[in-house]
Amino acid sequence: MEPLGLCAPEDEHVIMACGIHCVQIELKNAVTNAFGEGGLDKVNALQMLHSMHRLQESVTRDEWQHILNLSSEFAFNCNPENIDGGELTPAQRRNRESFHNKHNHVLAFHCKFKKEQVDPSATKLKGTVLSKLQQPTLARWWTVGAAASFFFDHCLVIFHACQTAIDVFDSVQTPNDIASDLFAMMIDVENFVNMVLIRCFNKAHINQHFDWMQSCEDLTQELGCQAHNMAIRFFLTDRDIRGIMWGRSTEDCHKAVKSACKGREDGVTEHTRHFTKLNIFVNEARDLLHKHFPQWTSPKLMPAALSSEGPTACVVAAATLKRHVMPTFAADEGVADLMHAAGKMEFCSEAHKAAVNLTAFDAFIRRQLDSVDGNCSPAVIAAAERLCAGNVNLHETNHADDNGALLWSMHSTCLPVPSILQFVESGVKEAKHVSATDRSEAIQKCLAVVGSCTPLGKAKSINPKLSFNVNRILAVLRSSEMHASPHVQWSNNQECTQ
Amino acid sequence: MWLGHELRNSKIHMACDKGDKKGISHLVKCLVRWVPRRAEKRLLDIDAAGDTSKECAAGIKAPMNTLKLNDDDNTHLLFVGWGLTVVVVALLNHCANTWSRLVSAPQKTSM
Repeated sequence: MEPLGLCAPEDEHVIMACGIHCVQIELKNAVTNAFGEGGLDKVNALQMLHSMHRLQESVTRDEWQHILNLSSEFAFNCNPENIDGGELTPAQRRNRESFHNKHNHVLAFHCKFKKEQVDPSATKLKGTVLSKLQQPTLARWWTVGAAASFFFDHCLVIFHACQTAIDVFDSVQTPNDIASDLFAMMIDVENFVNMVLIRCFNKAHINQHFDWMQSCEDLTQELGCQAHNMAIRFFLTDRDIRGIMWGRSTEDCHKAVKSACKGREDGVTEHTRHFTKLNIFVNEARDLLHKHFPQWTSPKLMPAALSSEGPTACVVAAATLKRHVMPTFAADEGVADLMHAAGKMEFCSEAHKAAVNLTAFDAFIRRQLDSVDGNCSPAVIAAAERLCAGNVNLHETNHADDNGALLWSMHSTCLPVPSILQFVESGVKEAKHVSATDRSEAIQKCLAVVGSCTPLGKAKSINPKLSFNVNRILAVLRSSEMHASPHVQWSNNQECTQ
Repeated sequence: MWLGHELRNSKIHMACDKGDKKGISHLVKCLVRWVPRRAEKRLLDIDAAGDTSKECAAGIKAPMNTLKLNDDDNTHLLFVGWGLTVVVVALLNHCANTWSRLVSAPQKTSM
């Protein structure tokens, strides 16, 4: 950008990567480095998830639903102790026994498999085995986690569905090919344990931080503009990832490992190997967290945290000023002083919907500040001093009082900094909608730009007594008028000057 | 043009993301600024751009020029780095004068 003359002086600009992408890459790096990448020639947990999606895509929707219906019936009624031979030929009996043996092998992987019979007439498919699975791509939001959860829940049904696909389709047909591969991968307990680890990591770590990033509108009233909360989120993410190997968050994974090692002669060695793998997985994720998130605690972006909620902002201010002790808090600030009982001060953050250990947060922020070079600007130092003295609260948007200029300066610089880029994708969606009508690229762009600033949301902003549709139409008309009137005025001005 | 006028005297922040939805390649550029009590987002442009950093930078320069009175005016300075996905911060303080001139004594040739 610099050679093009687009950049301003270096001390005035800030650059950062999208928070959601950073969390997503945590998972990507951890999976790739611990288990390897997916690929048609690979046999690992990631490829197992891909194969399941490919199998679903290789058959028609009706066929797939019928197969799953039969498979869920089997999983629901199957009794491993009693195999009904019926009037089978010896070869059929042999094949059935072989399948049941493999099925029992998979059944022993875990005790939490779902065995629900699906209702083929149900209209609501979400959460059932009939729901359509998105392609699990490591760089695409929650898709891998969702696929792992789906696979774990419906493992037995999918296993039977693979066998059905192998039986129904010829060996030269694609569904047979994919189902054979998937069947073989599912029997391998190693793949299952790895898949459970991906699921646990998503549930315990990724999902909650994704949810927060996609839903928080604290102070800015806009999704994706939470720069002031990102330093605290960094602290919470770091805390979570440190504790992920213990407690209940990876309970399912530990159970899967236990089942995998049960009855084996080299059980202890295997257990150690799985535990080492878990270690590598978590360490990779943590390394990446500490590679990308420190941008939010750099001298350029740390000032944004001064606009966070009161107690956390005070801690950041004290650390910015390099005060030797952390600030004290009054009881009415929502801080529980547990120093004597638990050695910490706890603040229930409304923005994060989580308890923040202020003592640990203070130490964390100071460590982060010590690890980077550079100083904050004089304006930031002045704001931090006033914050520490209790003269200003940057977590409010009233710019009318004595601190108005300071608030405006801090807010206009730090708060609009986008923390995630998911909202940017809405522009691509607009273009996709427009392109469906075969319009030219220029028209697609125009319509996308106009669409982005048109109030199309569901709100009764004009007249609460009228319906949503009427309100929406009135809001669109008002917005169009507001945008068009300056152009009319400029056009009139031009005619006057000619 | 209206957007350029609206953004005068503002500190604006840009978010860019490269997307490829069903074969449609786009470099989406969104502007965000602080208005009293809330942040406000505006879509600047969704035109395609190449894959290299240089091509992406050129892809940002073109729509930024549409905000200016004349191309390559020293009015809209971007503060940018590049990665897979980046957020760019720009300050538009310098465009105040040019926009005041346009609104008070417009020249048809520039419109």
